[in-house]
Amino acid sequence: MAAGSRPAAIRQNLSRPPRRTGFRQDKSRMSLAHEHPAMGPRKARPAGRVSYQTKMRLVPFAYVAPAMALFALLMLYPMVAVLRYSLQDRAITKKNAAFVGLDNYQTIFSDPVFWQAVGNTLYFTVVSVVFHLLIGLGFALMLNSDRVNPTLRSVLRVLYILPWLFTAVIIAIIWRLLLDPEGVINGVLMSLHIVDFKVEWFSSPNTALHALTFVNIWAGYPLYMVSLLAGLQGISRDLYEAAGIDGANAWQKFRYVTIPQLTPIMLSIAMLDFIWTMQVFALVWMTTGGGPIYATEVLSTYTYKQAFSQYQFSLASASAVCILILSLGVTYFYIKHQKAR
Amino acid sequence: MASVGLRAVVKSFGQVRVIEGVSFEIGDGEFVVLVGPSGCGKSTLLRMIAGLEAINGGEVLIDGEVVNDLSPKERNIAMVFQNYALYPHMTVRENLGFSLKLARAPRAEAAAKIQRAADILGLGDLLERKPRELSGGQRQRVAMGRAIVRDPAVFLFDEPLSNLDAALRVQMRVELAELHRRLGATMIYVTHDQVEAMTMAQKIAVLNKGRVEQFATPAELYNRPCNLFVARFIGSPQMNILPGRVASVRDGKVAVSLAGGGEIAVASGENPPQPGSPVQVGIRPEALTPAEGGILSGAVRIVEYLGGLTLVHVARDGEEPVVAQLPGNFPARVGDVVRFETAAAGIHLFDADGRRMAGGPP
Repeated sequence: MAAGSRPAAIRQNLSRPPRRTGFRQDKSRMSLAHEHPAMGPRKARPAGRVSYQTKMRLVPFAYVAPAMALFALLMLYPMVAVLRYSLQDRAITKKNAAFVGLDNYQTIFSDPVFWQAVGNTLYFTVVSVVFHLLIGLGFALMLNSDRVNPTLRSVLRVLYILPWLFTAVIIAIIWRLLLDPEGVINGVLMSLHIVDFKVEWFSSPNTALHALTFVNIWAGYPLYMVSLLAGLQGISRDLYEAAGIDGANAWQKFRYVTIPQLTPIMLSIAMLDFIWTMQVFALVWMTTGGGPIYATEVLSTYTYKQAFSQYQFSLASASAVCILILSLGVTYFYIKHQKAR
Repeated sequence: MASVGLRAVVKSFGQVRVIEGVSFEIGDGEFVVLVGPSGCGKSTLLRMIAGLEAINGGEVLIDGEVVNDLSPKERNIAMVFQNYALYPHMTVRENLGFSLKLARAPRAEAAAKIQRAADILGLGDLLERKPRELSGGQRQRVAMGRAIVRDPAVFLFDEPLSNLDAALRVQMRVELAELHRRLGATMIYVTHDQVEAMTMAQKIAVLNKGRVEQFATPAELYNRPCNLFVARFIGSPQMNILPGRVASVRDGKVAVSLAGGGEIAVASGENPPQPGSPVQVGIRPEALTPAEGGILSGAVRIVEYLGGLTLVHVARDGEEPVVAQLPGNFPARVGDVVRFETAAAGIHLFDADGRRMAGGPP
């Protein structure tokens, strides 16, 4: 049969019986004409026909599409919207809000509460991350040590991980009760004569931020402990034996074998924790609400109050964008660090 | 440089005894290999000498001093691990110099020692690289360099060539032998490969299930194995073992009739066996020569051509097949019937329990 003659009939032949591609049965009429041996050299594909190659290239996107759609709808669109609100005057509350450039940013930058929030956030985040690391590392070393009785180790492993099991609400309630002026902590401290009056942990501007940071440290160290424990168990025993033969004592083994092996994990987790802790809202809101007198005001609570107490959505958006920029900064270093590995 | 002595050394893991009273002495500057099948306890023994495993009984002496209670660094030993155990975040130079840094050695002295080790092992160009940038052979050399820098009394090697490919292993064997010749140090080497043991060792300890079966020179092990285990472990391909019964003992000769037919004669040793007692006859594959009137015969089953040699597997009716090692140009074909004979010096006699009775080269 001459190539090209009666193309319609040939097409019909090809669509019956259904062709089995290696991938899935293609029952559509869009069969691959150029595969048919009798067709001879490839001709220009008729419009509407999609080649197998193109289809294969598009398949990954098809798999990713649902997640991408959700991402775009729930994250990308709101982010862009907030960015837009931050550049408008009284977005949402006013119809046809005017574009005012960076005015909103100027407004919040001249708000002393904003700067207090920035300072509190940085203190809260840095101290949390540092102590998360120290406590997590300490407990991980203890759980990995041969010197601790295995039964005790199993018990401790369960106890140490408990803070992770609680949600922010529960943590807030527990600690508000514990740190209540009439609560257990004060009772114990007073009976040990460490303090001689009932400390108002969450109500006093002097202690509120420190108490809050302490609670956050308590709540967050298990992640570090678990990750570092996994890292410790991945260090080959040979390295410690070789170091021992080379003359290293326990501290030198820790410094020259353990720490260098754990450093990549520590950096990764610390960066992630920094980003997360900077955005902590629930814990702060439910223990102190940002008080007393802005003593525990952090960027997230500041943003929330601007939006839902003051209905200043544009100012809140500006504040939110500031948080975003700070997070992006750390994220950039995180990605760079991961790539380097 | 030091001697190493083991006196009735015992090791248990819980209820399980893994080392059962091992004793032998290693002289100053000797290269001794501990060899045996997997699980025989050779690595455990080495680690006990190093101080990485506790000693549950007996004594380990280095240079005449009991070291049971000394930590590894106090024993003045250096160890080369199977997996190299190089510090991954340090350069080669830092790896080599780590022990010196911990000992707070003066900079110039440390640099000189590092350079000397690097020169001996050809690591000069690699000093600034990290272990992940090195090949397996290079990493093993760095591990050896780390040991050399310490200038220890005893070098301990724990299967250092196991992770290398075959060609590299052959090359490194030669280098290790050269290293020993050059340094003249006492070296204790653990391997499961009897070829490594035979080629490198001055003395070999053959271990089996936590016991030393025989501690002797390679030649002694090969020509006068003290029992069936050693006879079969040393030598590749394995020694052929043929069951038989003593036919007669006369004029200093023991005549053995082999199961499956044939009779061989061996010079009897100090304690000649009783006539009629069951024995096991060992003949190494290279001791079999094809001969018209040979006592062993069978049909060729498998021919393994190695170039310079041919290994011929011969099946005998109802009996274990026999492997013969013949010159490479031997025209054996599957199905041919071949007859073999063997000189008296090539026959080893073992009693029913596997202990050596007689035989072997004089």
